Amino acid sequence: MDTRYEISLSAPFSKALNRLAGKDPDIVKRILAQLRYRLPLDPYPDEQGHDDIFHSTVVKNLEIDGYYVSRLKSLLFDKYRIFYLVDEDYSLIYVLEIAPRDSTTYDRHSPHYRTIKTLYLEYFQNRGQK
Amino acid sequence: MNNIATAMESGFSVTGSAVNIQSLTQKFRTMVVQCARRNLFIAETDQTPLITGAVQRPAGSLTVEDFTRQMFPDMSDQELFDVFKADTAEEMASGRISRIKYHRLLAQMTQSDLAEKTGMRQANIARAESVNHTPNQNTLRKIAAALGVEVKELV
Repeated sequence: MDTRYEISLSAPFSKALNRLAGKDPDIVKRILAQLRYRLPLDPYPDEQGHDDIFHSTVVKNLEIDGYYVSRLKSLLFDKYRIFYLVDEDYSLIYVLEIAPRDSTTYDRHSPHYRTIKTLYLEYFQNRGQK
Repeated sequence: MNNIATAMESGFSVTGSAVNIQSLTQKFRTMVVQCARRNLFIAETDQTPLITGAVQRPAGSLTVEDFTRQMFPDMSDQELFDVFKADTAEEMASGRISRIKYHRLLAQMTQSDLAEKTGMRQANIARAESVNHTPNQNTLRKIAAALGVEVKELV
């Protein structure tokens, strides 16, 4: 499979990066560089043994609820976690949310969980109508 | 697909994006989760919308290229790639990724691309670029040739 994925950023994700750029533009550049040049090549790091995605509590919790997302974790920006979905049919990676790693990280009622779930549902509802 | 059909015949249900996998054997559970992670439909095809055309970009979203141009209008693609290159080198230096993976990423190849170029299977590429694996000389030579680097740069 030599699929090239298009990387699409959700509006909440873009806004969050805008805010982050005001504080730390270098981190934003690093994130964008990973999204642009790495994620399309390795969209499923879990299956290649380079990530501990199977141990991600957030991903597991979302999976239990029926939301199949992946997480981009990098020690290059280890204060943040980026969540995205992969739509193989359209060769599209939709980046949903960036969440700081803090006390709300594992709270299933946190705004980050809600944002991920809302965007995920919206994506597949709209996609199904096309 | 044969495995999926077999799994379906074994009696699990699919409802929307939620799959009841608790009653499946581990083998089928792994397969279903892998399908789900890719957001692949595993229902019968006559229940699945026929998908045609180009990428359906969600409303309000931006491509990463457009966002980068808006956010950093003075930064060239090469400058962003240099950021990627430096960060990937840092990952390699710290032992988090192998030298093979480092060179594959810099060449902007997928594992499948590299597999095709070397005539190897993708699974073997994945193993070759694992940080805990040292490929044999023949494998290294093939990969080095495909990536356009010297063998010594991969070990």
